[in-house]
Amino acid sequence: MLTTIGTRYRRGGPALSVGAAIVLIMALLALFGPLVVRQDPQHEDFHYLLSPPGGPYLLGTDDLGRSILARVIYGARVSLAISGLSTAAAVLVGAPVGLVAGYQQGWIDAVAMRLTDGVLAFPGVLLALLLIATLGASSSSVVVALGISFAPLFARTIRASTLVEREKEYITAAMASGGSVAHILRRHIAPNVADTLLVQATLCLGLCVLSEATLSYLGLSAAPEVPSWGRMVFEGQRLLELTPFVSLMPLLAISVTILGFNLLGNGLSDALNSNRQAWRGTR
Amino acid sequence: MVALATKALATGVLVVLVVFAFATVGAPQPSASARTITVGFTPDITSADPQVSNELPPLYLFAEGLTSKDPTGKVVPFLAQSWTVSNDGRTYTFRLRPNVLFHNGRALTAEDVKLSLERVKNPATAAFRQADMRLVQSITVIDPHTVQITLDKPNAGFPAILVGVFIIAPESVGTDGKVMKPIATGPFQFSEWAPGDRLIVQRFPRYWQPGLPKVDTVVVRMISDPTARVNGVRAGDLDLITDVEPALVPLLARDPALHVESAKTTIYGHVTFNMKNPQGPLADVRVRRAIAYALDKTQLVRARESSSAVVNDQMYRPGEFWHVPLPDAFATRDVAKAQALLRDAGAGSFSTELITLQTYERVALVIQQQLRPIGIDVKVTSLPDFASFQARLMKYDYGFLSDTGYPRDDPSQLFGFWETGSPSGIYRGGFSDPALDQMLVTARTASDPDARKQALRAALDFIEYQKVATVIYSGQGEVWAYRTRLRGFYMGDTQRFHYSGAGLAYTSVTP
Amino acid sequence: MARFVMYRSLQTVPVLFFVSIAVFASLHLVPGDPVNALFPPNASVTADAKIALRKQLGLDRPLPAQYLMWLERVLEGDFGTSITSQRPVGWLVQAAWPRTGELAVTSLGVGALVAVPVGVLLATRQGTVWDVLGSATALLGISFPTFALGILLMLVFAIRLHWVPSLDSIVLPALTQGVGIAAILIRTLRADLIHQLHAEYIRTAHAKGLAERVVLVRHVLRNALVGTVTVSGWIFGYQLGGAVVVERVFAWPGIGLLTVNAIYNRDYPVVLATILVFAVTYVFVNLVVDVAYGVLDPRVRYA
Repeated sequence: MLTTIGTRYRRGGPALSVGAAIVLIMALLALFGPLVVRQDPQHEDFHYLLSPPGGPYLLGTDDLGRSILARVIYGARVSLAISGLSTAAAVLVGAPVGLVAGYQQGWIDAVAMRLTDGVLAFPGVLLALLLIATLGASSSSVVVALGISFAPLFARTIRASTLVEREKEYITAAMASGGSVAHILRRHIAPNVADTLLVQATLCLGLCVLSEATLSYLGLSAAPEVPSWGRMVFEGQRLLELTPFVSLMPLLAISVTILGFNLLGNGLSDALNSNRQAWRGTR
Repeated sequence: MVALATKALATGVLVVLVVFAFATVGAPQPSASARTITVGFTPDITSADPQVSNELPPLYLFAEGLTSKDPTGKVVPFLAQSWTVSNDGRTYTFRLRPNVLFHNGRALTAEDVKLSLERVKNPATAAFRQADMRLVQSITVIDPHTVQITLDKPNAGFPAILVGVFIIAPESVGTDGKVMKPIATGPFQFSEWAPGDRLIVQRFPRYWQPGLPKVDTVVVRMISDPTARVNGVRAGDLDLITDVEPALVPLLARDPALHVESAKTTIYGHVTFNMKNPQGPLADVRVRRAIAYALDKTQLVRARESSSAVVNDQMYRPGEFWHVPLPDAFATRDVAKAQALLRDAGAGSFSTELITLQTYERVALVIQQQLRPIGIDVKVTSLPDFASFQARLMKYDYGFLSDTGYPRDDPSQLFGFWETGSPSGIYRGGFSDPALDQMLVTARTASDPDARKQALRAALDFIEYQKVATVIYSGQGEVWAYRTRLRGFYMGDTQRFHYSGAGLAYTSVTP
Repeated sequence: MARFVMYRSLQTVPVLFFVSIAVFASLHLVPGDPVNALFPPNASVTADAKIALRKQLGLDRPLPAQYLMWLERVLEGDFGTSITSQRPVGWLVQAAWPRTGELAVTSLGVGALVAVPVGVLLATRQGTVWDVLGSATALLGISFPTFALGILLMLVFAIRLHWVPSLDSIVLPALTQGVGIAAILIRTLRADLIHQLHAEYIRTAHAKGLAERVVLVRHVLRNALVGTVTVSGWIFGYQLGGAVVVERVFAWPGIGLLTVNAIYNRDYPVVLATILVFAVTYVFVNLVVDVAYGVLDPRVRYA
């Protein structure tokens, strides 16, 4: 058992290690950062407007005198929480649909696929725009919007994996021995598509961070006090030439985090199933 | 195989570069033409019909009114060459200029003026200035160049109001009542409008002011992103931009190819309470006064990032004609007084909602922090677009709002927000008081400017200091930036693209 | 094949219905109404004028009636008139659509031109320093927000260096989109190629003694392209939405910008029309990709 983990880990290559390390660091930052850096991200110090890094504020202050370091750290919490919840929502909605569609096929499959087509036909950003405009700008509406936008991704990839698994001999045997659909899905297929799910979820986490940043640029993010990274880039964007660090710090945080998730996803993909292309599950 | 791949990559990069080179060369460069001015503007007009569209500076390039403003902001004759007012102040007799031609070559007559004004007054047109024309009781054509307008009540601001009421040729109106291609009297004629993209106007050679305009074409590009506008003027793709983001002014100021000008009119920042349906403790005037004392106006002014922003308490800045002396009781922050007032009113700590348009949310965040020390927990709701903001305002379920007011031609248009029954009342918390209405009617109907000023002073004192329905905290001028190749351009007090004595019609370009 | 195309085309009809109803419903759920949006604070319009305008636009009718009215006109080919600009919606869409189209095609071209050779290079050098560096760079390309890239490129190339104009030029927008596309395509192609290179039939071909180059081009590349084509199709569809951001940054008057502005202004007819255009394009592109998939990979059979 341990040797299998060992071999798989090695198969993951440097991508797995580096990716996992980055994600771990970000998670720790999000969880414990605020305890270490005891600065209020919303406190406005009008004596230090737009001050460069150094002095009492390690990473400088923004145009309202708020500590950038504090905001980046609290921002980690917000961005990771939103991404995590959105991915969870997307999985909860998309994966069961994909499982059932891939297993049952026939008209259930057709209906499910056309439903996902319906969602996918909306360009992602516009779907989020409409949903957030309807629900109001808050963290929960962002989660709902992203969850719905990415559910088809899971529906499709899980369906593809299920289709492949279903054809395998042990499934035919299980069906022949009279197992119920739910039982077969739960006992046999699900565990085997689990690794596809894991890889997809990791990549989706990265995509959610990216999407949240993009939505913030368009002015559709959580409430204004909430220091999400995307919102910080949006607020500092007009000052890019004069005081670039206001936008560059959160931008760096975003890119590194997404990179971490992507590396981790790649590494996991190599480690778990080097013969399957999990991300290309559009068939 | 590697060699093949490398060759493919090299070819690919080469192809891309070549395509881009052609794309760059082939890209339209309107500014390069010596006789075209390109403007970067936002928001878009909402119709080619100047009477229906949102009233914005670009419309003035091709449409004009009976009156106009001069660079100092004074109301002057335009399409009308003079006017007289009857003794009771209700009847205006306008004498039109004899030499004005519409863009289709036909001369302007009093009948055209009558039809234009009636069209604006007609609710079925849904004209932008429809309610302004409500006070017009009748319009009579005395002779082909004289038109008489009778109001239901005297209104000293009527000539100023007419600046924004456009005169168009009746033949522009189609059988469906809509205007697709407006025929008006401006220095440029309407050529093309691609909604969301650009408005193009061409020189009208038989314009009634000889020698104008000085250029052939003006292209107004609709660019909503403020950074894109600034980048455009810096790169030379735009000749003029309006509404420069205050934080970016330093960048433009140090560029030798650009002029940066600040308007002498006032954009004012205000915090307004929900007066129609006050929420919880905010119903008590002492609580509102406490909030006013807790605000730090100096900090709020700094939050607006504009070098021309000053602490203020009214819609006009010191130096403007309509500025009145008021004791700005809230000019400096007084936390102790605020806390005393709250204790007086028996209000402990409470929570309330502040709504704002996303464009101004920074100020709302500062307010949030300023009210924390006195125990008020402010929840900021930032609406992403104007329609959502309006929808919230109409519900009257918020505590207070933070917003920005813009300059208008006549004070009655600014004070009109607070009048009972005004369609714009939602933007000032739905405040309604008969005593105030009385003061505003006096302000409107008095013909002596000093008498008007007195009435307006009393009204402001009532609104801000007695009832604390609103707290105006800052005044600043809108900033425009333009390239030095524009000669003879002057922003003026009125900020329209064309007006009496100045504007883009007088502007020429150096090659 | 023909049956497949027909079958799939028929299936799109309910999809389009579903999309149109969903958009219609959500538009009316969004707070704010187009008539109010037309009249900002400096408007001077009485309540009855607004009521008259609402009546004229049919906004006072019950929602299902409004939807049916719209549907009836659409089936006749009339997409209505924009509430914000009083221009025919069809005209607006037809002006904006080609701008987005040219941007999508150009960025895809840029991405593909760079990605194909790079992908091949990285795949054949799997495990080397080049591969690691190349893959990491490609990954970075996907991890960086598009709007940030666009803003930075604009700052450097248009403002500071004056190499390209800041407006009306397709260069920077296409580059911005192209980078992200190239990154995805490189990863896809590389992974596919690696997978193919290990496959059985390659060894068989080698055993037959065919030249390496022939093996690569004829078998490997062709099969690897299957995955790339699929992803490209998906990317093309995705771009129509992603284009919103790039169109905002560069003031590019495409259909993304048209839709965003229409949503802000609550311009119902325009939003409905543009979303339908997106939906139809997406479905069509998917269909083309599926067919191409069938052509490129002879192992796939359609029932």
